[in-house]
Amino acid sequence: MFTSVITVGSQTNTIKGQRLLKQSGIGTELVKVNVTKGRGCIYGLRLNSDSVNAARAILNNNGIKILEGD
Amino acid sequence: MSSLYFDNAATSFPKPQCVYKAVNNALKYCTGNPGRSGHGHSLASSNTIYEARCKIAELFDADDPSRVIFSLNGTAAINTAVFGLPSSCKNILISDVEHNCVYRSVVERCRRNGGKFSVFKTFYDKNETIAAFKNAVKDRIDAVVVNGASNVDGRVLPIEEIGIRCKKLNIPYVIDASQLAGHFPISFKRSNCDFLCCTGHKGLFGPMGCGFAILSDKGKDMLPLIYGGNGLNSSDAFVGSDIPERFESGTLPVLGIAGLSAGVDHILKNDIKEKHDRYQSLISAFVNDISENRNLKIYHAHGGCPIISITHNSVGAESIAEYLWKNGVAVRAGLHCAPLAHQAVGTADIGTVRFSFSEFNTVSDCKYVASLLNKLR
Repeated sequence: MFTSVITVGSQTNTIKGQRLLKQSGIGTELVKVNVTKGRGCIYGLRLNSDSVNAARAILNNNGIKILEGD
Repeated sequence: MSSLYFDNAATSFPKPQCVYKAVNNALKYCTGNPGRSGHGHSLASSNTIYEARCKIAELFDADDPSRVIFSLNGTAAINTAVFGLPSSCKNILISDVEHNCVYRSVVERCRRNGGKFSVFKTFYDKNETIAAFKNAVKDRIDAVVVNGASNVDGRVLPIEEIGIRCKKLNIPYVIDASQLAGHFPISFKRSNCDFLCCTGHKGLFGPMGCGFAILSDKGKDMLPLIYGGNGLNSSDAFVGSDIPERFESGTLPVLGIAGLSAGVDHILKNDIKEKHDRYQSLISAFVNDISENRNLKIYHAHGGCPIISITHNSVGAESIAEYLWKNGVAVRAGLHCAPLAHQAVGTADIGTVRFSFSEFNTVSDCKYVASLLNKLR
């Protein structure tokens, strides 16, 4: 079950990240992240919490900036 | 409408079947505004656009699909590049075969910013062009903007060699690849260019209303031309630095991009070298049949893009185009929005009749058109 979200930013980068993770067998769902103060309209990847660390590493290694994750 | 279409340098027709299908599918299924929402309608559009970025990056030998930015046409991409050049770029070098999209935007930039531009001569011989370019950059040059091929006689510019020199001089380099793309392999990496601009609807077979640029590290830091909503960081008054969104304010032309993506895919699936050889046979068939006609003068760079211009001793270019259309042949006559290129070949006062080919033209089509030209008195 997808319970965690890695916040990426632009939708283009999020799609790019989603495709990279899919190539590594990590399934994700692209979501629009709730607006927080000082930040609006950003996207993230919802995924299984067990895959978060691996996913973050893959995104970082491919130059995709992560804004936050839980 | 049944006709023989030889106006592919203006816009290609027909398109490969996959392009019609892709546009139709996009109209039915890409029903949301890309990059604006998290629902399936929006994501379908966004995924289609991302797929197009990937295919364009592959065709143009660029590493990162997110460095492909979309625009409404090639001219919009060129204007983004020219007006986005750093304000310190006061001396801009262009070639003598530029289309007005480069020429007018550079002239206007210089008028607004107090800069000036200079023009280097090009030749059918690549080495002569390289020598002329090297000579031109002996003077102070802050940026170079050139087209990849002339839309009047098909001559191809040595874009990689120019790029090597620009890199050495550490100056921004902008290419207009609108006539070259789809006809010759283009390597963004080997070109060393900062802003490779292109239209989608000519050699790449996309629909009209869509263009793009590919950006280098230097290019991505240039200023956008258009500002507004891009679906990202809406609370910030500034457009931000995220690429490609920084350069894509406003709703993207999804249908055009979907069609362009299919057109690029068609090109990727076919051997571009084989296609080039086929063009040469078409052009040879055409030129051979009219070369004996002493009333005609032919302007064409052998081995260049599939574009031939002609002039007639006594019949004006528009009259020839009208005569051909009455016989079912579509061509473009006049100055082709490229006054510099006409000055270069000596036709600035009379214009030319331009025949521009695509993979859908046949040798028998060419022979028919040549026979019509040979009937002109």
